[in-house]
Amino acid sequence: MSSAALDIRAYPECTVIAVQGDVDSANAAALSSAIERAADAHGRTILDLNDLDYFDSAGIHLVFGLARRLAEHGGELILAAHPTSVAGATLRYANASGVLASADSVQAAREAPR
Amino acid sequence: MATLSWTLAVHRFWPMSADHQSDSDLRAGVGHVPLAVDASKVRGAAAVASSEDLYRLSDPLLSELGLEGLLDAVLGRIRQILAVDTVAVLLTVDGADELMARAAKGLEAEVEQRVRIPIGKGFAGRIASSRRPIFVPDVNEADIINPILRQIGIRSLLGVPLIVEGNLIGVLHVGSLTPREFSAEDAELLALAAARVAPAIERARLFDELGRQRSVAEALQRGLLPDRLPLLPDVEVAARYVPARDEVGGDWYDVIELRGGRVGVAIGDVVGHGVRAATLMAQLRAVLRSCALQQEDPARVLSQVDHYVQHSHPSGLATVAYVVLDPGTGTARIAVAGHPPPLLVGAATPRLLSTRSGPPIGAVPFARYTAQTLAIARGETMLLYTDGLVERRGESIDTGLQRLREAASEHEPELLCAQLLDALVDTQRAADDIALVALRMPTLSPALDLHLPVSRKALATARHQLRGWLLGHEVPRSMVGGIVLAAGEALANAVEHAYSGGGEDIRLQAFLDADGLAITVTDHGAWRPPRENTDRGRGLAIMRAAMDDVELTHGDQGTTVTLRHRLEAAP
Repeated sequence: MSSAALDIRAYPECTVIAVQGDVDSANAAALSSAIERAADAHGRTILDLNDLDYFDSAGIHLVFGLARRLAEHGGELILAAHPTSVAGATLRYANASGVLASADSVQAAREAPR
Repeated sequence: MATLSWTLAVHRFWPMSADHQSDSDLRAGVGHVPLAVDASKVRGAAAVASSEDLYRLSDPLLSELGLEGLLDAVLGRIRQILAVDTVAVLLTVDGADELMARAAKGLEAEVEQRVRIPIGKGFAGRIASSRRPIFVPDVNEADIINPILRQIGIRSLLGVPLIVEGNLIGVLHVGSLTPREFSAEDAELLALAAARVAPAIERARLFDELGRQRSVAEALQRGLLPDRLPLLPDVEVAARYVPARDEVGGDWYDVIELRGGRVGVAIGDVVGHGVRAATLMAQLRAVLRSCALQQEDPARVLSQVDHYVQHSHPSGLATVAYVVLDPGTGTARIAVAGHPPPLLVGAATPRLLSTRSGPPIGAVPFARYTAQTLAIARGETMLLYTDGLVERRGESIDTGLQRLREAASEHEPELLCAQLLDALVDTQRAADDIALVALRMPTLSPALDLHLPVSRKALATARHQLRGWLLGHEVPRSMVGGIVLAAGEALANAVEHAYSGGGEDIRLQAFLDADGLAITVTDHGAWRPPRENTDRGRGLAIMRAAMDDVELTHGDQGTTVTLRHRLEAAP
């Protein structure tokens, strides 16, 4: 079973959601729902992908879907994924790095201008 | 039967002339109603009880009924013999200065409402505190605090203490709905009844208490230990728990699936026996598990468990050993809190790990623990156990440990557990409970050959096994992530195909040859060409980017994906 955990922190100016463990087709749908419920519907949500052990195309599908749905309500999604991280490598292999708003770290994502 | 003391009590209670001094206590607010009784005013068919009536009260068969049944039978008989309208028994509540109504005839509400009377107050309370009988001729005029007695409409009450071996265990009282002058004979009879049934009541109560404790203990024990060990991709685990002969103990083991294919294994031994030790054990097991899931340094996990005990169970004490095994790197990190050393059974003679142990949990404020890292070879088995396995009365612990080393030869975890219990333990007579856990990383096959069920849930297990195999064959770490990713995509695709095709297993193979690494994923489903920019479209792009070569072969029987990667380290 793929095990993943979510760590959710709400700040005045954004919500930071960190995903830990493995993201694959077994848990992506459930994670997506949970993340969407916790996300900042109209403000900024930072999805921290720097602490993952595995992240594949199911995870990419998750983040793209999330970004689109949040944008429909004026929400903003920023990925925190360092190039050397597991998620960063997957995004690179999929030619998807830079398509979605992203930063190397949560700190950098929080400081990014709107 | 304490006839003499009863007689004295009755004499004191029944002063023979109106101007005799009596305890103000016993007046119970009676006022000017004469305490002396004229035998001619006595009514009631049971003025003189037959000896047979009394005998029936101490029928030995009564004690086989259990407390509730006993009380019910006894009260029925008393009501009959004395021709009263109500009978009630109150028993002392353990640890409180109170009486609680336990059984009643004609006064069931008192029991149902779980009425509690403080000792020293009210009718029954004063009987208990003075340990003397009390007669209340008219409830309306007396200081009766129990509302139920008034509600029912009782007019007269007579009550006596229940005493066993000098200890007050409760109060027995009878009541009449019409005013009644209970006679000296009535009081004598009631006191006799009390003396006869009190020991039986106490015996039944103790037995019930013991039975309840034992069944609580058994339920705890059954509920506390893991029903099933987790199925781990790259670690074989076996465990045993042998309860002590007489009582529940405080030993436990736990196997915790961590991320990245790692596994945490804990073994612990709470000092003490019985329900108290078992409940602390349950809490330590839960707290350790919770800490282990949040962080992987075994030393910090033990510190946190120790902190919990110091904070919430200051008198609790336990020895614990906790190991985090990483099959990917072939290492184990161990932290020990006063617990016997783990045993390693491998190619060489079995050896005990010399671990730097911190103090037992709960022993010392601000205890410090350190974690040691050691390499574990595949095929080598680590055994964690509690001292019940090695300790014998009158023997040094070293003798026991030596015996353990000599008895251990099996490597396969289940066989090792069975071997050790067989050689070291007389399970019929074990005075202390015993727990053991054995774990081993299986030796690597030159080629990997896995069959997975067609289920997304099986994907992670397969990936962990592949990762372990790759690292075991010394594929450079920098390459492993990309290879596992590519294989993961191929496996996920195979699961998607197979939903629409046959339900046959998916096969994952990996082998090394002159050209490097080759991985094949075979399914028996129906393949459709992927559309670009969908998951599966991306999946193919990822495979092609992460591997040196990707080949797909489609047939009527299914699809095979072959992934290749050269293995020379990048310059």
